[in-house]
Amino acid sequence: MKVFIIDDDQISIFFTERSILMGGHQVTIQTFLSAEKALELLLKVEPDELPDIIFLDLNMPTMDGWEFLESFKQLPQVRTSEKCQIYILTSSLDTSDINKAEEDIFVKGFIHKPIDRNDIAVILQTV
Amino acid sequence: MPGNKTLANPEKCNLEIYPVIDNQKVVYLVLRVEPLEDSLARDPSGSDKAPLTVSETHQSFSLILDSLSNVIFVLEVERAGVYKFSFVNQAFQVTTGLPVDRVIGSYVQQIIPEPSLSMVLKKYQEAIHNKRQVSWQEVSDYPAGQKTGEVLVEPIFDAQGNCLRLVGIVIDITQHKEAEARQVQLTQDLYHHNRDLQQFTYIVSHNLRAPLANALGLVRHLPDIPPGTDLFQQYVSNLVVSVEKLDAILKDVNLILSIRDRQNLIPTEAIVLADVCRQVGKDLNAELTACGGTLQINVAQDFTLQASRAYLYSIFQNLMTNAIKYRNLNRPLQISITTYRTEKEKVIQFSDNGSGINMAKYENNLFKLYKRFHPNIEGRGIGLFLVKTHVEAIGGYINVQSKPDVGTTFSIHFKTQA
Repeated sequence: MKVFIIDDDQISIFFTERSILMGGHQVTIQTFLSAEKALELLLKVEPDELPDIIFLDLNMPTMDGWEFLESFKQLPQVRTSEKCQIYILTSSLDTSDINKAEEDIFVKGFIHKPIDRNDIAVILQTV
Repeated sequence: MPGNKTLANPEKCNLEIYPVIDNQKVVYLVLRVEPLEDSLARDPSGSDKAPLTVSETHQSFSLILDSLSNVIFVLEVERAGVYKFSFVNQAFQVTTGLPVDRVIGSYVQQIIPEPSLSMVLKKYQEAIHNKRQVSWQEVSDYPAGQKTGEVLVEPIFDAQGNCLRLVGIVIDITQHKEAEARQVQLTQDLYHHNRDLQQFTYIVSHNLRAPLANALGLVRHLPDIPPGTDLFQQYVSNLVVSVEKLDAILKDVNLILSIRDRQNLIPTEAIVLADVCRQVGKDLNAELTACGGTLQINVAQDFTLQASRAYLYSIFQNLMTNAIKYRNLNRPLQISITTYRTEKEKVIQFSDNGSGINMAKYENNLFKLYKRFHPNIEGRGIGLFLVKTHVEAIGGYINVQSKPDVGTTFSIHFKTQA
């Protein structure tokens, strides 16, 4: 199983990565400090190389989480595959973000930081 | 009223109050009108004085009208649409600067200029046609300055229903209007201030939440991490960084609130802008020369601002640090500071030939707290917010023009008296 973590906060990445590893799950984790870097890579991969899960931060400079989602939806591999599930992982408590996430069919869940190890176990089981 | 202590008919008495100009001050004239029972020609005091003649009554009536601060005029209707001044009081001359002698006997179009003329002629017509009083507000420029008046015109008809004359009164509501405008301005300022504070609270709570969530998560993991290991050490150092970030944000809050709090208290002095710019240039000279940049200060020595030196220094220090940080790596950095004056404003322009900003995308967030626009360059997203806060604390405003890969110009505007 392949997991992407997109977050401009290095400590937050460290923590999410640690939370997955502590659960003893067999996953490959790839981390990105900007949404642009993640998109760059996603543009190049084959549909079967798409990650199973993306943990996506919202509040990032230049390209934020919502902008990433818009570009992500346009990727040809994403359009032909239903493999990739996106979870918003944010410290935002803003209800408008929560509502927006609920309306977006690409978003499978909205998680407030810090992520709980039990939540990770539930998410990974669904894959 | 002295000299007239007993009232024949107190319940039928009328009191009228008029504002009157006396020695350039407004005082109030109180008129009591008392009906005289069965003795029209008899002097109520019972003295031997003869009753007032018609001409004397007219004279004292004129005197009263002349002492009123409100403009009063009478127009004779010669024929449809032709109006001639038959009376104006002294206040007309005081307000308009036109001598009473010149106005009386003149036609309306000889006295009132366009575009007011067309408007008042229409209003007169309306009063005559509808047989009732009309009123409107008028802003006019007079030798005494711009005045706002509430005009009331009453048509007077004969028994056959022909309009004989128009009697008009103009109440000066300039002060009232000015107070109203000040009130609107105050409300607007309060609204903006409130909105800024709301936004500020929102941003701060959001930005406190990020390091707090990290610290919270790390602490929850800690009991499961073997002490003394490298991993444990990593947790501890990440925890320290997170808590330090929390501290930094709270310090920012304190700084920003103190600037806003003190903006009316901090002592100001006439600051020579060129001196401040040179000081900032000197203090950042090492950084500037290290990147091969140049600073040109084209500011006249007599260009001064009534401000706090520390705030002005902070503004230019932040702008210059940004210019160095976000320079275009393909060409040597050039910064220039220039000024110009308009009738109402002093404007300072701070320009660079740096990497520029995508205005279409970032214009609305440029001066907001904790907003960053360069993924590869370290920054806390507070510099431009501080610049804006300081500019506003001095009573100015700032805007920006920029083109990616061309450069950026910040324009700082202050009212001329600043």
